[in-house]
Amino acid sequence: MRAMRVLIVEDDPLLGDGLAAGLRALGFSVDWLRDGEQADAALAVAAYDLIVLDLGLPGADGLHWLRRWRRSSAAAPRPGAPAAARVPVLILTARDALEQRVAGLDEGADDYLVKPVQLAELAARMRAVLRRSHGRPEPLWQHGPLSWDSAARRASWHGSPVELAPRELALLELLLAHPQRVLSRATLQDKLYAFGQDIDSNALEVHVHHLRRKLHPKIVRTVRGVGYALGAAEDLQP
Amino acid sequence: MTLQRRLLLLLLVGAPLVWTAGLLFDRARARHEIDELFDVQQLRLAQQVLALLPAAAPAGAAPGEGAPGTAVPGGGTRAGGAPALRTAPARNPAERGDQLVIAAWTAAGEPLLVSADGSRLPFLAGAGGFVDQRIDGRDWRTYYLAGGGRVVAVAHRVHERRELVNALVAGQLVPWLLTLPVLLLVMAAAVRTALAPLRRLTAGLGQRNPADLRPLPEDALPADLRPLVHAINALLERVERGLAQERRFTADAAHELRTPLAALQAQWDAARAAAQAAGGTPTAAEAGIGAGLERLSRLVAQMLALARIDRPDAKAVPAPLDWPALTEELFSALLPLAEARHVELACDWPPDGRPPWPAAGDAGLLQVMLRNLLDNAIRHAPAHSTVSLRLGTDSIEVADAGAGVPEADRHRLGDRFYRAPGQDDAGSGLGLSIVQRIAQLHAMRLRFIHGDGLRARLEPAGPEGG
Repeated sequence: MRAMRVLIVEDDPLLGDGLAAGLRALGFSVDWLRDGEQADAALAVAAYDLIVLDLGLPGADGLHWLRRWRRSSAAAPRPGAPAAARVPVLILTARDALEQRVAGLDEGADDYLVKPVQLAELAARMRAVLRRSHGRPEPLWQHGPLSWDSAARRASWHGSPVELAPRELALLELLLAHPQRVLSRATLQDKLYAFGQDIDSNALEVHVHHLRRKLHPKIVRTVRGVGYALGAAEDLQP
Repeated sequence: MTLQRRLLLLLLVGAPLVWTAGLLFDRARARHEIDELFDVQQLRLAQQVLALLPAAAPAGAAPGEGAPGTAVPGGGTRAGGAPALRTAPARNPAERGDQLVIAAWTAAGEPLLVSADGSRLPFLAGAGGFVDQRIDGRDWRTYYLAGGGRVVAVAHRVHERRELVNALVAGQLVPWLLTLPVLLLVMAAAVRTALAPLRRLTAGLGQRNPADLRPLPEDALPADLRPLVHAINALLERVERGLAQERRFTADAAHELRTPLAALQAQWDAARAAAQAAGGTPTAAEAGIGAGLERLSRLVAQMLALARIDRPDAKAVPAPLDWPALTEELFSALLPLAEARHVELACDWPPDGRPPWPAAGDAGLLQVMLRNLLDNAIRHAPAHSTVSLRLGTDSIEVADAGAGVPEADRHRLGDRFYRAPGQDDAGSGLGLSIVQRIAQLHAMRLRFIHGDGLRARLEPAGPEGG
């Protein structure tokens, strides 16, 4: 399996170095560049699966480059790779005022994280962004003992395939694509409907029940009064 | 003592004092005038009487040999050696105050002319001019005039003079005493009216929120208050500038801390990831570093949040609230912490599908507020217990099954940087300050209910403000 190739654009040497080292230790293939110019040049020649972008860069700031990449019509540097305009971008910044957050997402960022961030959370958010990205989703999603083959849409538990009904598959995929998020019944119904899986509210409980029976009792976490979330990976051991 | 009371007191004491002094002065003047008036009368009368008396007989002439039948003023007649003569006042009892008593003697002291009272006037040999004397226990002022071998004395009772003076003074005293209460009332009203701008100023300052450093209005003020208000405004401005500087510093410092902190966290996580990949397990010291970094991150985030909402011009921008979306966002943000602590999360909605309170508010700020409360609850709840957000129709509660805060320390909850004793977790003590400030911006009040866990309850602040 090819490692995910990540471009980190961060001017602070200590932070950039730490992020690169940490993500490499987690199995990502990392390029770390210190400003937007270099990143822009790199995007033209290399195919990246994801960009981690700092906003406060020397010279033109991160939002400027994000806007530019999203509007560029440059072709993909390699057949099959996403064009610069479609590479998922995760903003990592010290600015957290709400307006700036919204501005970042409006310019086409896929997620927004405020410094400081723990490596585990960054990796989880990167994976979630990759899973949801239109470019080229991560082929194999791992969540504790659960593996998800995104191309074949098949789940396996400790390596052995698990038979799931189409609506259960859709629900599991949705939860896996939004780790560490509580999804309300309304949100789940909306998204499942978009997947072509119309599920009414009572049926949702039934599918959750099936997933728990077939996979693990803690694979779906209930937040009473709010909705459902993917269970924590460390809780999934027998 | 208020300025108004002091001014009133001074006026109440001062006015009668000044008035009494004026009265005493008047009395002295009246006395002087009246004395002078009567003295002149006595003098004239003495001269007239002396002129009318027959001249003294040549030396050796028998005393009492006057001019028989001579009329004297007052209409008395000479009668032998001791004629009694009533002078003018006797004719007119209404003018008793003017009563003058006359006596005349020969140079040797033989009475020539005596009025009823005059008989008591002593003969003073060689006397001339005015003499004050006491006769039969009464004070008299007597004028002695000698001439042509005769001595004439015209006396006037001092008491009568004094009565006249007193009558004059009393004539002034009565209207004064009647108008004095009215005057004092008018003065009190005048003082109140004159000091009204000062009172308004005081009331305005007294009702101010301590964080309100807006300048006081300087126009429409009396000229003598304007320098004071101007000085206060200058002070307010300096304080405001100082505070703004401090807030900016806090915000800048927290902001600037983020990147190095993120670098530290990233380096530490990279080292941990490498160690884990090599199969090592974290030592207690390594776990301590991780916890310390987490605490530092939280502190920096809270300092920034507080710096942002702590400005006097900070305000909640109310908009209709989408509670389902808000809770979805809120619980998503709290999920990692709840997972790490093995705490279950729950949200209770008002019964019968009624909308939660409040219907409108600043969604961003309310989320920060509830996140801080829930964060705090999750950190203090025992593992495998449930932390719940209870949305009601007139309150919001965050309930946990934790031990709460000891009775003695509860009043300090919400003090900045205060951490309840025995709290071993990564609290900065700023969370409740943030909660209270946002609650205040939404006219909400926060209180804690102990018993069967701890409930942080937000409810509408009463009309007395909160």
